[in-house]
Amino acid sequence: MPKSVLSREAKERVKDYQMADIVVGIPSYNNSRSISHVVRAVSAGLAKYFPNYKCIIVNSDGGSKDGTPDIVKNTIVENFDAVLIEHPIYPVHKIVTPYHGIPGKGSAFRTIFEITHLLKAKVCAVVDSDLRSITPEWLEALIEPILLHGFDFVTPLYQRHKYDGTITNSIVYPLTRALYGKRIRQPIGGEFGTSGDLISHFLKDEKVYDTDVARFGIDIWMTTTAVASGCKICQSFLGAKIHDPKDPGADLVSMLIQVVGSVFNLMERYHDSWFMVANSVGVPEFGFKFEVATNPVRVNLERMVESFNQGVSDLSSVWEKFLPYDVLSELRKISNYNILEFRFPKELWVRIIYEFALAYHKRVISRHHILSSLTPLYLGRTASFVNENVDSSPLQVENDVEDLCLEFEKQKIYLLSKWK
Amino acid sequence: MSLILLSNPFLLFWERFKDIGPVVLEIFLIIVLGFFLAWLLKVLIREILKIVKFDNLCDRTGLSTAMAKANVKRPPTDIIGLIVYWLVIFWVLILSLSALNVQVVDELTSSFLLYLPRFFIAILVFIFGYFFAGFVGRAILIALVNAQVKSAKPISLAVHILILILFLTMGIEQLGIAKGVVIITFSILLGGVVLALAIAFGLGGKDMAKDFLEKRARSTAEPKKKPDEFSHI
Repeated sequence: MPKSVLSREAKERVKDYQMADIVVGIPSYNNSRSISHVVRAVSAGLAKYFPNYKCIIVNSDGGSKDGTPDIVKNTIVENFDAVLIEHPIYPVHKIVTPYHGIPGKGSAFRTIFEITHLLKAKVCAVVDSDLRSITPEWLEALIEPILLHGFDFVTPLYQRHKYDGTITNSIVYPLTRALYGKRIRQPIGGEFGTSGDLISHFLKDEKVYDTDVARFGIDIWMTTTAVASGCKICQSFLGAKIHDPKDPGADLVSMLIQVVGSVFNLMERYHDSWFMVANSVGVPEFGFKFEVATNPVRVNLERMVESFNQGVSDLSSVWEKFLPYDVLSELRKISNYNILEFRFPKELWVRIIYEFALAYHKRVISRHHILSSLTPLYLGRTASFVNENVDSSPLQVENDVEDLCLEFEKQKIYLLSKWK
Repeated sequence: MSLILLSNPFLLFWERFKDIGPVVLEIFLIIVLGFFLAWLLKVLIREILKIVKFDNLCDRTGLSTAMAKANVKRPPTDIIGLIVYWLVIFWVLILSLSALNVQVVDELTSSFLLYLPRFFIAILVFIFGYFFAGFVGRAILIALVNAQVKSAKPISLAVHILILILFLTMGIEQLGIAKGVVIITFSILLGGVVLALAIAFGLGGKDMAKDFLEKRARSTAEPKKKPDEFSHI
């Protein structure tokens, strides 16, 4: 058993409960506005769909200042007569604990994983604490494939706004699909279900929790580890994903560094798993797909294009260390477009991502500098995506993402030829 | 009689040669062994640097590019090997001279040996400063571009140059060359730059500062321009 990261109090609670069948983790940090709803939805889901199982909710908190842990403790599991067919044999218990280590999502997950491992639970599901659209059915969708169908890892499928999840749509999904050959649509979705065995596997590698995996890199690390380890993976449709509003631009640079840096690191670690993969295949899907209305969102195109143009003008001295001349001249050419006509061709974008991966692999300059210099390019590609899809339906946007994925698969041969 | 007269210079030469002969032999041996040692060290260092892939490291850190710009066409491992070779040769020559037991040469030798560590430290300071200035300059440039600061390039260039000057001063001070002059020049330069910037900002940016303060005052009353609402992940 790896070194424990649990507080004494948490260990005592685990000792009191001795074992559990299902653990549902809720990582949190200052989520007082939404966490009560999440806890109630989770409790209802567990009582409704898993009444014969011993279930525990674990809140792993990052030192909230707004009383989030108290809200979790005081959220009363209501009388669910309206939603229950049979009454649960066991009450749903809660463990509320702060996590230790590098502040971030991954460290919060590590605490949840350790509690799951100590309780010898068969399944662990994790849901975000800022969700507005979570329903009891999400628990069924995330847990049942593992408990009843023998899967090891369940990733979510959502109905999201067409501009939402741009790091997923423009980098992480197409790249991991091209690399590992599995069409996992939301590899960094935030909600997932995991078997107890896979949780034990996640806990074995203690050192990764000292890297960006302790922060936003955790989701892609879990998904890639599951794929590379040959686990049985499926996707479950959850409906619309609506979460608490927050300023996404505030920590975009660090988010991009952590996520993309983790993907690139995993490329080195699992080189043998992706090097021979030529095509991609779908993974089994659960749940009934339906159209859901999503909230309209505001996009500041001007700011994105300005950032891209400034990057092309000021960062060329950095990029010329690893981007070929033809790519740089192509970037200079598109930086002359006006905002509404701005287009960033997908062929160029894919080439750039592969060049960044190669530069990162070969350590052409500081890896941190390589990753942080990607931000203006990412914003340029996002602006182009918004321009291209102003009038597109969700299906058309999905087709656009599919085209990008195929381009990543097509150009993989270039990556292979340059990777040494 | 005439034979004795003729042999006298030879005897005198022999007497003198008996005195200096061993010294000459000693000098000859030191030089021969020194050249061999220098060659051996050069080969050894070159091979070690090749094993640790020093050339690749120089490529990655930009030193190779800087050398290419300065029209240096040899690989960095060769350059280091050559530097070591000629340093050892220089040291051997001084050592061989010290075999003459002349006081001036002895003093020269000891002062040279005492100066060597300072020389190496200065070289290290220069090399570290070059890389550090490049690293910090690039980090600042990227951070400012990501924050969409308009004058990202001149600011990062100024920081780059200032760090280079700082390390150059430290290196020259270490070498003991015109100590006071270098420090005073650096202080004047730095002070001058700061003063010039202060005056420029003070005079040129008077209206900007006014606008900035007014905007800040207004922003407390007015709601902020809203950011994008979509999630990147």
